[in-house]
Amino acid sequence: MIKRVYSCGCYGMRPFLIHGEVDLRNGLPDFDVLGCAGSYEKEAAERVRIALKNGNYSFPKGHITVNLAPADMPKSCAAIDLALAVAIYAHMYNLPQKVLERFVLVGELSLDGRIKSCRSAISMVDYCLRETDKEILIPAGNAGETELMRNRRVHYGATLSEALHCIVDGVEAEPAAQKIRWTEEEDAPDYGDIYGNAEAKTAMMVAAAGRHHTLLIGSPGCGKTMAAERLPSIMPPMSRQEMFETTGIYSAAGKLGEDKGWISTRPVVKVSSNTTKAALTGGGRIPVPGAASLAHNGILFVDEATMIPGECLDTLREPLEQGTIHLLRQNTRVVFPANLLCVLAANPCKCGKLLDDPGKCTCTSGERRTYLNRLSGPLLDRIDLHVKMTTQPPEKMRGQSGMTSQEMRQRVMMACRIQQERFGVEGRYNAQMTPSEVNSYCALDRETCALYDRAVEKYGFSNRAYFRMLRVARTLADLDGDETVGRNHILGALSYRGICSDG
Amino acid sequence: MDRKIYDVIYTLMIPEIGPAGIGKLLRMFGSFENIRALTADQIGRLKFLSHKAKEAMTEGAVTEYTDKSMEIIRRENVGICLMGDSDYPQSLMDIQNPPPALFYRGKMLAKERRVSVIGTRACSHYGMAVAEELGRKCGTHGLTTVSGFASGVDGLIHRSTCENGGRTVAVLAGNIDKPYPVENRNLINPILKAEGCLLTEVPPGKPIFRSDFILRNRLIAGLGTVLVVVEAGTKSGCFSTVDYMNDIGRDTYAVPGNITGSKSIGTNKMIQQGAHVYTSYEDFMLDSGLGVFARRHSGYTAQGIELSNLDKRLLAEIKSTPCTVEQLSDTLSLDPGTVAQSLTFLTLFGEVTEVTPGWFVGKTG
Repeated sequence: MIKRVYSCGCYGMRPFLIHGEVDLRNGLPDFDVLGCAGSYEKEAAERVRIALKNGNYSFPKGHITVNLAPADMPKSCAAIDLALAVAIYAHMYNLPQKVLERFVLVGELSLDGRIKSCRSAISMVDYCLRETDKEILIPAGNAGETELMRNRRVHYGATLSEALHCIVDGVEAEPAAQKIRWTEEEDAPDYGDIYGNAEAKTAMMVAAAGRHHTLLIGSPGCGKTMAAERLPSIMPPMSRQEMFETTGIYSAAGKLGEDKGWISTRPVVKVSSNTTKAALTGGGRIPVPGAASLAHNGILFVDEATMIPGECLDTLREPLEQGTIHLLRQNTRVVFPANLLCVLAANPCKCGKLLDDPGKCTCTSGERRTYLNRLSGPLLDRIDLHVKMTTQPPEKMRGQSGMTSQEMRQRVMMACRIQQERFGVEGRYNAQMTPSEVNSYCALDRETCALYDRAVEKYGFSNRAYFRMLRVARTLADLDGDETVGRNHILGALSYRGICSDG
Repeated sequence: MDRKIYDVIYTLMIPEIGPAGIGKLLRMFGSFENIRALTADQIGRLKFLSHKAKEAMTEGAVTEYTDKSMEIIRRENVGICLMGDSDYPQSLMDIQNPPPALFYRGKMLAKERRVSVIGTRACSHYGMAVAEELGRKCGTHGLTTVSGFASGVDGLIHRSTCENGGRTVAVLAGNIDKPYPVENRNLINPILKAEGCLLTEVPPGKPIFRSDFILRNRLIAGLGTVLVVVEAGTKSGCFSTVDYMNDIGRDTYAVPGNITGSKSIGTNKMIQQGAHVYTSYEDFMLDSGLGVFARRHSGYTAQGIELSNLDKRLLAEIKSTPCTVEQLSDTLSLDPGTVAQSLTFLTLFGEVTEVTPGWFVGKTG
């Protein structure tokens, strides 16, 4: 006879229900698992058997056949251990089917009967609560990430025994109370740590407020990495939905760790020049999110952008343009969210001294010209701000540091509120404005218009650059709380035009 | 006429031959027509031609190059001036082995006062400022500048002369259809618009060689009444131009510079070796005998733009030493954002120039 049991799997970021049928009949002892990848069979059999035995539960002596449906979905099968163990228990101890029907069971068993935490627990719990009417039992180690979703339908088990107690006797196992790990505000990196480079700090406010992708140009050691990694300190705090999404991604990538709670600060993902396409997009037989998705709702910092292979930079087009990553597989398409703010960093030229002291720059004019052009192309289309940073003289570093994150954040929040009113929806920012929106929201008076036209001619802006400057000007106006885009905002935007390609 | 040009280009297209070699061929055979008609036998006996040259001549490669060159001339309407034509600059006749042909674009040289200005490619801010001022003043006062179209000082001279309504002559080291260096190609239109001229002794289509640079310098020397060297390092190519000037008995002025800076070591040495000292534009004009100013031209700027008080303060502060937004905002105790906006405004109207990204320089004097 067959006992049916339910578990949960996750493909890409989409959880799905796994229907398990466990059949026990007389015959030579054997354990067959259908619907799962090869090596799982042998491993599962052993884990489940030993775990049950170590818990002093009896193990049947017959032929066990397990079918896991849907068969064509790749399953990360280890998390099904718990469900199988419970099904076998049900056979041996006559647990009625209707008890098994109530639960979705997730967890990998170790030999001593402990249940190990799994990936994507947060997504699975959410799916289960919304799409099914079942209760879910997950490893106690995942209690942290599901803290905010606690519900009478969510149960935890640290060991097989606890799980069985819960299912059979209804005894709740209380995991150790997890505190959500909010980052202490005082510890967070602050823009007060950066001395000088005031223009760059203003640019960071613009980037944070209007979600403009940015290119930081400066010699090594002038503070580009510092500027990028402090962006979360001036961006609006994450909303519940954003926290949920980001935690789900980190959970799916297995980067949450034991007992960790929700991610409440925007992630900063640093990508170095020896990154690969796969590292950025993610992938694998069971697709796992890559760096671009880990930066969802946060910052993707690409250092030494000129050294990155073109095909990698190209992969970033989709996240920058649409905020997603699509992976194509044989039967299915996987979509990962990747709504990130991209900050690229580069030296201004080969020797790095062009901005600090052009007299000392040892590059030939040909080298200067071609160095930053390595970035040109589809990626630069989407970079709104080109910010120059310079090495500060020693006196600067002993004096006042300039704006702090607190001051900057206030202005950014104001600008964000204005944008929310303007667009009427949450999550839409100036950087995403279409040309017709630019024309309606960034109307210039005649004088300012003449000024801008003059600049367009003098610097030879392309049409793309024309709209780009206006978007930045709009954010500058929002930061000042001004309704119209004025002369100063246009001039400010122009100071962030590119030093390479067409501006 | 076409025939004559064809013959001259033919000789110029012979590989690995320089002005001395051309002069020798001319003296031996009398005319370019005769050179083209040389038999393989005669060519073989010329010891001063390289193997490659002889091969190219006998196998018809030179004819091919010449045909292609003529095609470019026709297609792009390149101007040609042969030695002996009425518009061939007489001042060039003083140099050793003057070019038999000049290929040009724009308005050909006339009888005018010209000053040759050269300098290093990697100039310092000081050099940039001096070049900018000199170009501007020459432009405003109707004095034609001659320079080498190179990066650095040459490019700045050409640019500031044109932008101030003046005429400038760019002597290219390579051919006229693909002017070298590439990054100065955006100067071509301004130069031509301001009634200037691009010229070279290299026929269209001929690739550029290392030796061409020094050879071009003798043209710069030949075309200017006087030479000014703005900034030069120890081993600068500018020294060759000075030598050429000395050969034809014309004066050189060198701009003195910082003895600690590497960029002025050459110019300081020139002064030590007898070049005149350039201390200011006015003194230079008086001393060199270039004399009274021909015409005043109000120039490109000053279009009645309204400068705010802030703009004026900035202008007063920015001088010939380039500075950044940060430096200005510190000195004037102003918010950097406001300074940046003002600088951008001033740059748009030419009151201030962004010489390299982030560094701004004003007008001196």
